[in-house]
Formats: sequence, structure tokens, C-alpha cells
Amino acid sequence: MPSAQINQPSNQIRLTNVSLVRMKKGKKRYEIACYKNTVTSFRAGHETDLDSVLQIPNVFVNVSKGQVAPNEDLKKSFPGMSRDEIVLEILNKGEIQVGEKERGAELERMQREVVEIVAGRLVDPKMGMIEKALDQLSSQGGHAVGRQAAKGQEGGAAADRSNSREQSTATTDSGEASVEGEAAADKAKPKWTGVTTNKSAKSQALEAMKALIAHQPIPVARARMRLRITCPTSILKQTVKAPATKPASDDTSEEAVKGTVKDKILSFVEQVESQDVLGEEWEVVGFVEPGSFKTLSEFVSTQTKGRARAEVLDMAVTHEGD
Amino acid sequence: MPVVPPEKLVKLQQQGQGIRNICILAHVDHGKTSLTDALIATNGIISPKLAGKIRYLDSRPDEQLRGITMESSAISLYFSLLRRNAPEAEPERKEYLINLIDSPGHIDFSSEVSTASRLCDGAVVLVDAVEGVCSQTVTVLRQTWLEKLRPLLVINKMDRLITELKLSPSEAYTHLSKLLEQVNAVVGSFALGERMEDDLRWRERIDEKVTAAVAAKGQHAGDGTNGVSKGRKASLAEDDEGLVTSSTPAEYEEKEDEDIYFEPERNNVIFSSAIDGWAFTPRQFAGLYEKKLGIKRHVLEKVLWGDFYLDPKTKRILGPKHLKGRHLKPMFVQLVLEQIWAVYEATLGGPNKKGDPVLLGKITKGLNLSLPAHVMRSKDPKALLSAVFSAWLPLSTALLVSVIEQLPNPPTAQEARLPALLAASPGAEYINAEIKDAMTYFKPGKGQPVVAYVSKMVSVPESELPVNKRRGGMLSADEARELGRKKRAEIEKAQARANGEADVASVSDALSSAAIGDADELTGASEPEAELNEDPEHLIGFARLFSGTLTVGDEVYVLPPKYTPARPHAHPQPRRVKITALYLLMGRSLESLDSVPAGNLVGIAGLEGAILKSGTICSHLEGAPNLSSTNAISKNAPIVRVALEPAFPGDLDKMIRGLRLLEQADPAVLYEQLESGEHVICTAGELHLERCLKDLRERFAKCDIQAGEAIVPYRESIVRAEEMNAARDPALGRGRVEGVTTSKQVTIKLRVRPLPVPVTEFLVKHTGAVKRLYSERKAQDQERASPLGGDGTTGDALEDASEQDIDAEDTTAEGGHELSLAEFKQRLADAFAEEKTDKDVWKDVVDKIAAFGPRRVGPNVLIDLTEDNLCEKFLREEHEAPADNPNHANKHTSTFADKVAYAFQLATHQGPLCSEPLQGIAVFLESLTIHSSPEESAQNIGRLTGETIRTTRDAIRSGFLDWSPRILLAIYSCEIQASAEVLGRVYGVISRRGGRIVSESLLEPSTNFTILALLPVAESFGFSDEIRQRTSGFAAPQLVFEGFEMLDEDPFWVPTTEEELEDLGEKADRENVAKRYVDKVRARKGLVVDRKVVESAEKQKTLKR
Repeated sequence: MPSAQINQPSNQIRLTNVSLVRMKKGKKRYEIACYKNTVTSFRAGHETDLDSVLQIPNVFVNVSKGQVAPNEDLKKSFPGMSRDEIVLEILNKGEIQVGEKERGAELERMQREVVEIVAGRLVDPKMGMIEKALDQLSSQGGHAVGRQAAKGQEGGAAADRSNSREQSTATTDSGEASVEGEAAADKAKPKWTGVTTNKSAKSQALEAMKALIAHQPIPVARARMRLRITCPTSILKQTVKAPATKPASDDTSEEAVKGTVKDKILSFVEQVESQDVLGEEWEVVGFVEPGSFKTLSEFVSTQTKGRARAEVLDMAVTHEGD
Repeated sequence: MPVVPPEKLVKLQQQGQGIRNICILAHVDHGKTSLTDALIATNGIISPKLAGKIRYLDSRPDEQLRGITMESSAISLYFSLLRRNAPEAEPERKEYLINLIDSPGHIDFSSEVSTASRLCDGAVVLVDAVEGVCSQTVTVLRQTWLEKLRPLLVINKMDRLITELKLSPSEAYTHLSKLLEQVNAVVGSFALGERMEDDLRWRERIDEKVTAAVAAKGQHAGDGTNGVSKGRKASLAEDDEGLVTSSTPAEYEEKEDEDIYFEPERNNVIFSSAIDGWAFTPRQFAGLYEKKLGIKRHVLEKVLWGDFYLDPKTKRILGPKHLKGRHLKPMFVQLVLEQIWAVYEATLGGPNKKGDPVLLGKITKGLNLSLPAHVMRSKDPKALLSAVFSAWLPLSTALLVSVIEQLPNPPTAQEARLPALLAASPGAEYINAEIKDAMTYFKPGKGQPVVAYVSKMVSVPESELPVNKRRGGMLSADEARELGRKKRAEIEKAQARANGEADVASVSDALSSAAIGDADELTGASEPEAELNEDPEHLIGFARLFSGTLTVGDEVYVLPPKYTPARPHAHPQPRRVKITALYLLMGRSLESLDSVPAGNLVGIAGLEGAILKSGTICSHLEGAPNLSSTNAISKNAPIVRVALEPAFPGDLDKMIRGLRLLEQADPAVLYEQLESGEHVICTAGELHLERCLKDLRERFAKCDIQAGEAIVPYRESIVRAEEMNAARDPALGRGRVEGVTTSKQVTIKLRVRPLPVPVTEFLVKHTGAVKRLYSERKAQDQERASPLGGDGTTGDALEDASEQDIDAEDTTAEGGHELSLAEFKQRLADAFAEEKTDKDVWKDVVDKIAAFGPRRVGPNVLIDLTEDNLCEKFLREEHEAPADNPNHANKHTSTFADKVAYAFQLATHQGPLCSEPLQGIAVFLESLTIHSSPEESAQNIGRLTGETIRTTRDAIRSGFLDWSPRILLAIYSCEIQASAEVLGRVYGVISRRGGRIVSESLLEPSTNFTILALLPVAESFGFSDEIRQRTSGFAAPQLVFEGFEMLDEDPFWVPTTEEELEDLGEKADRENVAKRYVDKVRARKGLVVDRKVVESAEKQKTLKR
């Protein structure tokens, strides 16, 4: 007993390799002591050995003070559970502290996933290059974006696209570019600031793609979908119905008031590969920007009451030769 | 020695008899470039003092730095010789032009050797006296053999025998004769191999040749009397005598016998020490001793090498039989080696290693040499040594005299070599007789057809072209002196830096910096760096002219390597180009020429873009020979593959341009862009790769470039394994999945099965055919669409489609394109019929195939088993019109069938294991039901589309995983030639990298083995380098992409049964190889990997930070 009270190096317990999992249940806070960087693996099922996750197989009220949770409290909060079950419950459902390595691993995984998705949806993909280009974009941060946006407003979008490459290289050289006033114009271009773990890889990939296409650190273009749209000829000549019938198609509806169905469909198709009329059917094969596919297919199905079809031939045409 | 003006060289180019085109070949570090230095010094281009140290032809900075040659380079040298036509006649002065090519010895650059040797008529093969025959020596000897070059053997580094090994003269003699035997054994093995081939060929034709044989036999008997009886001769005769020799013309055999072996008495062996600047042939000594001994010179020449002894009393030459127990030294030891040893003793030996002045005095007096006083007083014994030798046995004389006497001039050489060369070229029978004649009989006249062979393209910065130099490149005496002074100053500085030790690198540094300074003066540019950057690169063809005369402004045809005179106008059409300039190749500098006659080496400008790597130039189009396609050039396939990317992404275009240039400038580089968008170059070795990267960074691309491992493709598949986990849902059966969309409106039932192996193989082989069928079908649809659509246009459409296809896809399969639809179906059905187990499943399946995948051409099939055939049939016959479904509801369902087909493409494109394409699975679509009214579903078709696709894809994936999944590795087939000693080590390397030996066979008649192995591409990074290192270069692998091979191991396998648990423990101690590959790919793609973040959590660093 006395040795426990004398403060000596050998009997100090330091909370160094500890990561806490906390849970509030029945107005009480419970904690368990785990090793660092293990809880996410355990939850993902990669770690199966409980002993290499838990430091002490016990439930605490406060780990740092060494206060073990009283049995009565536990019984009240977790009725009908043994202590081991409670530990597991907390481990699986409590809030965790994400360790340094865990975060690093997750970020890296996310980064790769995003790059993989981006590479799959750009024309002429260059895996390593995309990774580097994204790094470049995120390291430039707001500076380059702001400057380019300002330039873009002066010179028009087309000029901007061609210029942006030189500019982005120029800005890396002169890092301390003046920022005044440019922050306001910042919104014009999508920017990319690196991956985060709290958004899905797919949505991040979409952002990354937009930023890449806007800044063009390497020449890239979004791969387009190839669609085959068939439609009875009788419908083709009809004027597009009033938007009132379909409130969901929001942005397209104003312009769609005038013009025939055919015009409308063709306006979606960026590049027409072939266009034929066979009997009663009109068929067009062409490339469509992936972003507008949804509106197109909605339009096709609503306007023609399902008699016209939009069929996906290729999700992403990444090579010109295809 | 005075500098030889280029005008003189140009004049000499006109005289075919006085030209010698030679290349210098040897193993790494056997002294090629040092030897070349000594020859260059004779023309006053460099100082004789620096010869052997400066390595003039190593013009690249990295060559100087590393001390090895990397690129072959040529120089033209002048040599004059006093010659007596008859013994009594007045000596006549004859002038010679020697076109010399120095080649690299490292194995990575062996392609340079093969290109160099094709340009030449003779070869000088160097062998290190100490190291003897090395791996590359064998290679170069084989090269000379194949190219039918007359070789000259130089045993170099003789000084090492004296100073390093400290052999006595007699020991050295034994050593040398053994060395010579080794070399001759190598050459003999080539000759034997060829003779056996001849023999074989002859045996096949024996009946036709009976009469000819009889005639030849008589001739042979006549030849035999004056023939030299060598060992090989005897072996020749033992075969059913006379008949064998008759298979080839008798005189051919005779010549062969004479030529192939190296024998000092025939003066094709030179003993030398390039570093000390001496060399001799026995003939030289024969001349020296002629008077002294009173023995006829030609007799002496014969007996100076070999077991001949000089009787000290009678002064007569004795054979070994007449020795009678006396202990005499062979004549070579007594008369030759001992003298040389004495010189070394006198200069480097002595009591305190400072030489022996008394002995030296004796020697100089005896040899009637006079050494300059300052040399005699010199403290440096080396200087003394080289002074003695340069006065007594200068290297250049021995070598150049032998070259001129032994090696053929272009007219004779072409007459001997070209018929065989032309016969081996493609379409030989179509070659125009006139051109053939002109080439064989060496007609340099103006009107004669011009034929030249361009062996490689050399990239030269614009500033180094003579056009841009202020005056013709030739330095005036003043300038030369100035430059020399500068260089000396630099060298002194360098020496001071290196503590008085003139190490080679710093000297070379000094030289190059002096050169740059000079360029500065000439162009007046302020910054050499800046100037360098502005220099565009020019490509100059490194060529040998075989006939005719080439003049600046001539228009000639450039024949690509695939050209054949049989079809001169075939695609790609030979291009007609204008020669913009001609250059005399002088090592690192070029001299402009106006015209060049046949038999010379020349640099040709104006070929940029017309020749990629090598090619033939001809003044005629029809009947021109193609010299560039014949075997020798493509012997060394590039084997080290790396992916390149610029360090800064914006430089991508620059890099691609640089890569294209590099591919042109280096015959051993292959550049390709992969489907994944990677830029991959293949180089001949790691060292070669390093050089290419340096070239790219500094010359071609001028941006920073990083190299990395190329991405390796995989495939995923399933098999019916012996023991599988229980099917997920026993009620449905294995692989059957019922998917319901989240909105519960669409239900999809499908079943996944592994395709029978023959079917998969068939589909993999005929990818091209499927693609073509697909495009045909599209064409048909279009045609039906057009109102005129009669059957008449079908043929055209088909042809169009298949033509497109030929461009788009190359199939390795036997005639994948010729398969018509019916044939394709038939053979596919046959393939299905081969499967024995589930006959009923695969019956009539061919007609129900709805699609192939991924990308609509892959080796997976979607089979439609629905009752009303929702999907369009892929392999329908032409006359079957697409089934028009009058039923409205049906049509509605078929909208979703499209989505299912699309989901099938998606699922097969990215498999569940690691998102790699699938191979060899069949998806049976069993039913597709929609639980809502058409109107309702039409309303939210957008949502349903997504749901259907997702559900189907997931269903296919889970069906896939219900079977035993497998991963397929990309495989290289690897051919390795190795000698018996290193066989074990080769096996070790292959098995450690997960490869497997397919076959091993002895390569008759040599002792080499040919090993055929399969090696996963994923493990091939650094393979060739490792195998070379482990076998000291005696094994050379060649890798060719073979296809995909299944790794028969379930990546998800864990021990389950009691027995397995007992054997392997719960965690399966044995590593699951398949899982390792899968995890690697998953980690690369950012997919979830079943791996702990930290291995042992309790042992993490516990210090608080």
C-alpha cells in the first residue's frame, strides 16, 4: 500500500499509448482504455483480437484518474449486460479518438480513390500526372485561384482557359502575389484543397475534376458518355410541353419552352456520331457530357411518355479511338 | 606529329583501295577507347603523351565521368606506310584512310555494337591479357562471325602480366597461349555450329547432290595437298570424307579454315599495352632478328610463336622432338618476351623501383634508340618507359600495319560479305541485278546506284554542326596552340586539386570546360549554359555507303525497315528525301563534305523524320535491297521497362516530344503509351536507362523526369473449386442471385457461372473478331435504318468495318479477322461443346448470347434466358430482323434490359476483388420483373435506371464471389540463354520471383542452355538486372508479354477444416500469394484493404510528445 502512495517513476502510469472510447448512456459517461490506432481497425473487422485493442478490459468513469465505473451504474445504464458485453458495446458504438496513423492511412486511401475515380473519367487519363496536378492545385491554394478568376473575368472564359496554364506555373514562382480584392472574385472557379475524410470519395472526385478542368495544370477534358437515343418520329416535331408538368427539371425548363423535342434532345448531345430514321423511329448516337445525362434522360422519359429511350453505350469514353 | 587536314582525308576517300573501315570491339574495360586514343594521337588530334588517358571518343560528360563508353562514335584517321612491293624494290609511300568506330563494351549497349559492326569491313577484337575471355568477348566474337567481319585479335594490357601478376616470361608465354586457345575455342564453336547446320542442310539434299559431290571430291583431293592441317581440318575430314566438304564449295571451306582462328604466326594477333603505348606482332620481331640470327624473315615469322626452340650453339631452330631433354625456352620467350620484360625491369624495376639506368643504357644502345635528354633525367619512370616503347615498338604502327595488311579494303570486303548479306535480306530475289552488282563489285562511280545503310541516328546540338562554326571547324595553328595552352592550364589546375594526381575525371573536366570556353569565344555568347538550352537537336544518320557516290542535294529514297523489294510501293511508302549535308565523322566534331564515294562512313543530314532508327538509302525505288531489316540489328530486345512522368505536370508535352526524339536517336529504346496513360520506355539495361534519363533531362526534353514502376494489369475470374464455401443461399443454388432495387419496383434474377476454359480461350484469342462483329452489326443497323437499305450495300459496310478494325486492333490469333459470323458462331459452339460437365447448361447458349463484356468485346458473356428474350441477340443472323415487340409492356421491360446489359459491362469492367476487368464468367439473366404500372415507372425512370444498374451490378458481383474467385496475373514469357555453370543461379532468381520453368534445352553445339520460363509481370521489375548480376553477365533474359495466367489460389482462403487448422494454425502462416497481389492493387487504387493500421498496438512508441 505505501508504495502506491509514494510517487516514484516505477509506479507511475502514464496515459501515453492510450486512446479513449467514450459513451454516454443513462446520463453517465463511460470510458474504456484502448491502444492507439486500433479502434478503427477493430470496427472495420481487420483486427479480431480484443486483447490487442483493449488496454484494460474494464469500464471506467474516468480513465486518467483510474476511476472504474461502479457496478450499480453499469447495471442501470446497460441492463442485463455483462461487463465484457458492455466493453464491446462501448467499443463499437462509443465516440473514438482517431489516431495519427489512422487518419494518415485513411487520407491516403481516400486520395488514391479520388485519383482513381478522376483518372477513370477524364479523356486520356494519366494516373500519376493527375495526382501531381491535384497536389499542385491544392498547394497553390487560394492564391492561384483568385488570380485566375480575376483574369478570367477580364479576358473571357475562352482566353482564360488557354492562359491558365502559364498563370498557374507563374504563380508558383511568385508565391507572394497580392491578394487584395481577389478574394471577392474567388467564387468564380472551383478550387481544390486536397482530400478530406468527411466527404465521400465520389463527390470529392467530382470537385477535383471540376477544378482540374477549370485550371488545366495539365491538359485534361472530361470523358463524355456515349448514348443512343431513340424516339418515335411522331413525337419529334412536337413542341416541348410546358414546364409546369414537370417541376423537377428546373434549369432547362425556361429555354425549353420553344423548339421541338428533336431540337431539345440534340441540344444535349455535344457531338453527334450518327443520326438515322428507320421507319417510325428516329435514332441518334452521340456524346453527352456526364453532368447533363440525368436531365436528358428525365426529359426523354417525361416528354415522350416512355416511348423514347436513352441508352447508355459507354459510361466514359476515355480514348478518342474508341 | 602534324595535324592532318581534313582535305587530305577527303582526297583519300576517293581511293577505295586505301580505305579500311574497322570497329573496335571488346568486353567492358578491356581498353578499346585507350587503344583508339593511341591511334588518334598519330594524327595529331591529341597529344601522344595523353593518349590512353584522355579517351577522346568518349565525348559525353557521363562517359568521361563513369569511365565507360556508351555510344559508338567514329573517326577518320590518316596513315601512311612505306611499302615494298617486291623485296628489292624501292619503298613506295602509300597513304591510307582508316575509318574507325569505337564501340561500347557494356552489355546494355550491345545494340551499338551490332550497328557498328554492320558498317565495317573488319574488326579489332581486344582481350584483356589477365581477364581473358569474358561474356562480352564471346558476344562480340559472335557478332563478327555473323557479320562475316575479318577479325584481328589484340591481347591488351600485357603490362599487367609484368607489373601486377609478376609473371616470368615463360609463365607469361603459357598464359598467353592458354588465352589464345580460349579465344580460338569460342571461334571454333561458332564454326562448328555453322558447319553442323550446313551438314544438316546438305544431308537433306544428298540425293540431288550426288553428281556434284563426285566432282567436288576430286577437287577436294587436290586442295588437301596444299591445305594447312589444323585440328579442325581433321575433324572435317573424318565425316564421310569429301562428301561433307562438297556440300559447300571446296574453296569456301578452305578459306574458312584459314581465316577463323587467331594465330600469331599469321599475324592476326597483336600483343599490346595501350596504356604504356606499345604493341607488336611477331612479324616485327622477325624483322628485327632477321639479320642478327641470319634466319630468313618468313621462316622466323612462322616459328616465332609455338613450340620452337633456338639451339644456342648451332643457331638452328629446333622442334620439340629435337630438344633431347635439353631445357630451352621457346623462341617467343627468349627473343620477344624477355626483351620486353627487360625494358620494364630497366625502367620500373631495379633496387628501389626507380629503374636500372645501367640496364637501360644497354638496352637503348642495343636497340639503337636515342632518348631525349630530358626524358632520361625524368623522375617519372613511367615517362621513361613510354619513351622507350614509343621509340621501339609504337602501338600505332603495329596496329595500323596489321589493320592495313590483314583487314580487307572495302572492295574486297564487299565482294565477300555482300552476297550473303543481300541474300539474307527480305525479298532478295527481287533485288535489281544492277544494284546488286554495284554493291558487290564496289562501284563508286557517279552514275552508279547509290546504296547506303544508316545504322543509327545521332543527335547533335546545332552549335556543333560545322555550318555554325566560324570557319570550317579546322583550327588554325595559333588557335590550336591557344586551345592547347588553355587545356594545359586547366589540367594543371585539376592536378593541383587532385594533389598532383592526374585522375581521369578531372582531366576530362578540364578538357570539356576548355572546349566550352572556346565555343564561347567563337560564338560570342556570354553564357554557355544559356547557349546550350537554345540549341535545337539535329539528327544525323550514321551511315555506310556501299555503292555509288552521294552528293549534297541528291534526292534519294529512304527505305523503312519493313520495306521489301518484292512490293516496293507497299505501305508505308518509302520517302524521297533530299540530302541537305554530308559530314565527315571526326569523333566529337564533324567536317562538312560535298560528296562521298562508296566504301566510306559518313554522317547524313536531312533524314530527320524519314528514318526512325535505321534504314536503307537508295537512289532507286524498285529492286532496292533492304539492309536494315536483316537479323543482326534487332537482336537485343529492350527488356527494362519503366514508366516515366515529368516532375512538374505541365511539362508533359515536353517530355513526350523528348521521348519521340530519344526513340529516334537510340536504336535500343522503345517508347509506348499504355492504355492507362502511362508513358513507358523500354531500355536495354539499367545503365542504359540511366543514360536515357540523363539524355532526356538535359538534351531532349529539358525538364525533370521521374521514373517509376509501370502499372501492372490483372484479371479476375472464378473457378469451380474442389472445396468451396457453402453457397450463400442454398435454395437458389450457387451463383444465383435475386436482386431487388431499393424501391422494390424491379426484381432481377441472374446466375453467374464460370465459362468453360476453351470458351474463354477462344474469346480472348478472337477479341478482334468480336469487335469486328460488333461494328458490323452497327453497320447493319444503320443500313436498315437508311431507306435505301438493300442487301447490296452490306458487303461494302462489312469491308469498311473490317478495314477499320485492322487499324484498330491487332490480333495475335490465327486470322481472327477472317472469321465470318457463321464461322464464329460455329467455333464458339464447338468450344462450348468441349465442356463435358454441365452439358445441358451450355446447350444452345450461343444463340442466346446478348453481349460480351467488358467494353463489349471481352471474354465474358451475358446470356439471356428470359422468357420473352428481352435483350437483343448479339450473334443473330443477318436475315433475322430485330424482333419487334408489339407488346407495349414488353417493350417497357426491355428498356430495363438495356440497363442490365449496361450494368453487365460495368460489372465486368471492374471486378469485386480489386476493380480489375473480369475474364471467363457467364451471367445468365433469368428474369426481370417490374412490379409497377408502366406509367408509374415511366414517371421515375431516371431513378429506376440508376437503381437497376446498381442492383444488377451488385448482383453480378455477389454471384461472382459465391464461386471461388481467382486472380489472373499478367505473364511474361522469358527466354534465357545461360551457360551450364550459372544455371543454378538463374533458377534461383526465377523461382524467387514466382516464375516457373517451362523448358530447358541444351543449345547444340555450345554448352549454353536455353531456358524458357514464365514470370509474372508484377515481379519483373529489376529482373533482368538481377539475373545479370547473379550470373556475372553470362545469362541474358528476354521478356515478351505472354498473356494472363491464373494463380490457382483463392485470395479469401483461410484454414477452416480441422486438418488445415492443425497444419497451418488459425492465421494461415503461409502467405497467401493471391491475397498479397489483390491487396497491393487495392491499396494502389485506394480501396479498402484488410489490414491493421498498426501491427502490434501495445508496442507503439509511448513517449509523450
